[in-house]
Amino acid sequence: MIAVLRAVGVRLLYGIPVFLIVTFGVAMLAELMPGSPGQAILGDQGTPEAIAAVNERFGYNLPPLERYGAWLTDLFTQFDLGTTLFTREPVTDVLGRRLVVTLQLAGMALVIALVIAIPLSLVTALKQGGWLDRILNVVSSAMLSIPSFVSVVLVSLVFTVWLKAFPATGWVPIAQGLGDNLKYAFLPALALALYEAAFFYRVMRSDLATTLREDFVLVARAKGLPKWRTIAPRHVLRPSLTSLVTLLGVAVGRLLGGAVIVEAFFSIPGIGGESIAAVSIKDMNMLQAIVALGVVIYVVLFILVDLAYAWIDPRVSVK
Amino acid sequence: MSRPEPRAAAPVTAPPTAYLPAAGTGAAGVGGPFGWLRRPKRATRRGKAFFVFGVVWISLLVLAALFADVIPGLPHFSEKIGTFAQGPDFSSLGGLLGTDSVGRSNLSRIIFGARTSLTIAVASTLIGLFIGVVLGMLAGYYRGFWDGLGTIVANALSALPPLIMLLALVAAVGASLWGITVSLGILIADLYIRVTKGAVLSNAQREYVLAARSLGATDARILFREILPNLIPTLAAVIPISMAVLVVVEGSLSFLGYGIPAPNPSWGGMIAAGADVIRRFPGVMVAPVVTLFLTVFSFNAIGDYLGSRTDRRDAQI
Amino acid sequence: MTDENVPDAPLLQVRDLRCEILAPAGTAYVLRGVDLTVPHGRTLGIVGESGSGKSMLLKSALGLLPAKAQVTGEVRFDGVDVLAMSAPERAKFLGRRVGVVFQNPMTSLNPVVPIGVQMAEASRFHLGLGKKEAHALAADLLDQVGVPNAAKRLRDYPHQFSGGMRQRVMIAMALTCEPDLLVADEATTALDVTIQKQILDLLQELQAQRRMAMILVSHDLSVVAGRTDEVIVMYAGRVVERKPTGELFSGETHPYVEALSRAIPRLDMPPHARLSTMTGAPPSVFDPRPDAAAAEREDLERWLSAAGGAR
Repeated sequence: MIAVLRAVGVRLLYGIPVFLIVTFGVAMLAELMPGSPGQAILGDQGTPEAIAAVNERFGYNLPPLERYGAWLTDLFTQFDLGTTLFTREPVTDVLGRRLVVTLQLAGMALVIALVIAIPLSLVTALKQGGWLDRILNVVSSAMLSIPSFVSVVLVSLVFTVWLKAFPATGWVPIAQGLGDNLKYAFLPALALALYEAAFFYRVMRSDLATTLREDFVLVARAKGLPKWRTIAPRHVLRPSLTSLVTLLGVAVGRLLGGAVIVEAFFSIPGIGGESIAAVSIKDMNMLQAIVALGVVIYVVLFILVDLAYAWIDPRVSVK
Repeated sequence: MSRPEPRAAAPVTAPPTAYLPAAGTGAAGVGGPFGWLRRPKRATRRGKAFFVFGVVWISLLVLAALFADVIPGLPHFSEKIGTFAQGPDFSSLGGLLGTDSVGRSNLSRIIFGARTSLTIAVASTLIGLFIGVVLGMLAGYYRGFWDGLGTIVANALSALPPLIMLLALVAAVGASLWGITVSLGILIADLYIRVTKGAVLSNAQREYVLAARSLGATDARILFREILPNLIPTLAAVIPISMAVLVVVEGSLSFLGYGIPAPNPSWGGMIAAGADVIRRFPGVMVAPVVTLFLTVFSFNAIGDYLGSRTDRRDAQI
Repeated sequence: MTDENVPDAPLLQVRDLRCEILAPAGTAYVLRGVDLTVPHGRTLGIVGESGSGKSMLLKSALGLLPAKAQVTGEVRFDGVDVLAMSAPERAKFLGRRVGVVFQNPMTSLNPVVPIGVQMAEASRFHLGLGKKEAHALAADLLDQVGVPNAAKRLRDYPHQFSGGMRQRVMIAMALTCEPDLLVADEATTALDVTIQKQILDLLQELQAQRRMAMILVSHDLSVVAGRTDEVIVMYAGRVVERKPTGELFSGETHPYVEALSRAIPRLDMPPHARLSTMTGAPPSVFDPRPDAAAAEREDLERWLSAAGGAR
């Protein structure tokens, strides 16, 4: 247990310079922005004094380095990320709300992708060269070349326009009813899942095929064990889990960061949607917070993936 | 924790289809840094067919984009050539792919849009390549401080959700070709740092490096004359893949409306416009979607093929 | 090695076994018509150089090759035509009655599954044992093969065992269902010489105890020499010599066997003595060799070329 905590601690420490570099970079990016928060809010009607007053509230009158320092201090001491530009809501509240939504979408997308990809890759790995194998090879290759903004349109076309089965845009929080929530969440999750499914399929298919060539699979067959009930799950899938964990790590990172398009298109109130909104009103505070969140997620993911390796593979020890 | 070598070298950014060959192949054997092209490898026949298709498509695209201004009979991208959302009209060049929701030539807009996408993809790749290869070589060769720095930078870059970073940039300074290109270049450098470092790591221990050093070659000379040529196969497989990624990211940005501003057409913008009218005129979207798909697919196919010819599935970073 | 109370019909009978594999480079003629017989309770040795088809022989006979390998011929186990069965039937039938120990103990065990589970698999499937009983059986077997602290070690993973220990585990695993035939395919090749002897002794002991038939496959004549009843020698996918072991070197020795034995260094050789080797290489696996007489002459020529060197 101590070893685990220490390993986690080391990695967190390791993540700190990354966090600082990235957030500093974004903060400096905000410097490039013409105008000031005061001007953004008050526009032409603002008197210089009023503008200055607003700026002072946003800490804008301080030099950039100090501003960054203040931002950091606020974050770590009071867990305060400032307020949004116009509505003056605490950023942490907004982020919290939106993160939940994005997490739900990412989770659903992952589940859909895994449910599609894993069984199919197992089937084609166990029967290589068959018609299913060849078709899926081409299909998955093609799907990987479809960017998310195209798949959202296609998914929308099929399910909303033609089948009229799902709503076009919008979101219903779980609190207001799971059924409705799922109805609105399905299409965006599917749009996200298409790419991930293709990705998982290809990598797992290849990895499973490699595992099949291992000696211990031959041994299991020599023992006369049933192919689907025993050999597949225990001797083919299980040893390939390490790859799957790696894949999941990459996918979750990508899903959380890249759901921007999907959320924008389907009007989902998630992190991605928030970043679009923040861009349109130039709320650098919010964007900075979103990026910071992104880094934190990345570091946490990194740690989780490493821990998962140690858990799955008995040869890997927690350092 | 010692991470076991995952047999699949997991790609580190968005859509690469290939296993990123994390280690380069040696130059030993058939003719120098390009000998690997001549040695028979594991590429399947189908992979080769896709590769050839990819090369043809990209070449066509590049030619069309380069000479867009002088293609005879091609209307300007802002010129209205007919009513909106017309289907393909084979009587004129401009009408070949139909018109968009305003009546402009789809073909023309696609070709001019290709300029944007390809320029950004190429320029960003070059920037990323330069940064990534330099840092990667330093990290892999000298290890120690440079390794730490390179790793931190790579991690920092990969921690950035690319689209959000771009949006932040656009919010700050507005969308400009220069700004977008540089940011994308910096973001894709992460990929190149990792790949280069891996390739250098496996090469730096080789005998010919030790031999060169014992002959008194300076580090710089070793890096440039010995190691760099051996990175070429690995990089050749990664470059097309990064181009695919960049085309997609640029497309995403313009889809959201934050790409290179109008009047310049962009594929993402065209797709967004098509999405708006999709209920009544689903055909408008077809041309840009197919073009984008073929382009991304081509880059992926090229990268896959080159990658399978230099396949080395061991040695992670 | 011998036992009087066994039925006369052989346990394993292989007739004209051929194996062809379609590879990108052409058709590989891996087995070109092999016959062999293993009576109950007896030991057969199979010797041959790498690529002679020894391992493929086993895998073909036991139905362990993928479907794209074309295996023809007759393989009768205890009278039952095994090749005529469907794959699942054959797996169920042979898996219980034949135990196999493979060459590489480092890779023959699934690294992410505990030993106990891997050992219990066979008895749970074939014998219907419950989890506890299967594990108890496994512990007992580990004991018999000389693994100390058996019960506790069931929970360990393969990487926690040394190579020799792992091979003992493999042997224990092969014995789980009380097979009638134990096959050791180069079982000691990957081990140190001292461990080799231990393992081979162990195999013989177990065979005697359980009255199993055994097949010992090796490229090393010395492994097979003292421990088998009958030896078949393989070369280029066919059997070139079949003799009771004792008679292998008495009377007229087969030229190939002669060449093989010349290649073994002996203690009584003078220092720096040259080992005799055959010139050239064995025929290519892709060569169909339609003319049997010509093929024999070619082979004979090669074997006789192992002249020179100390004897």
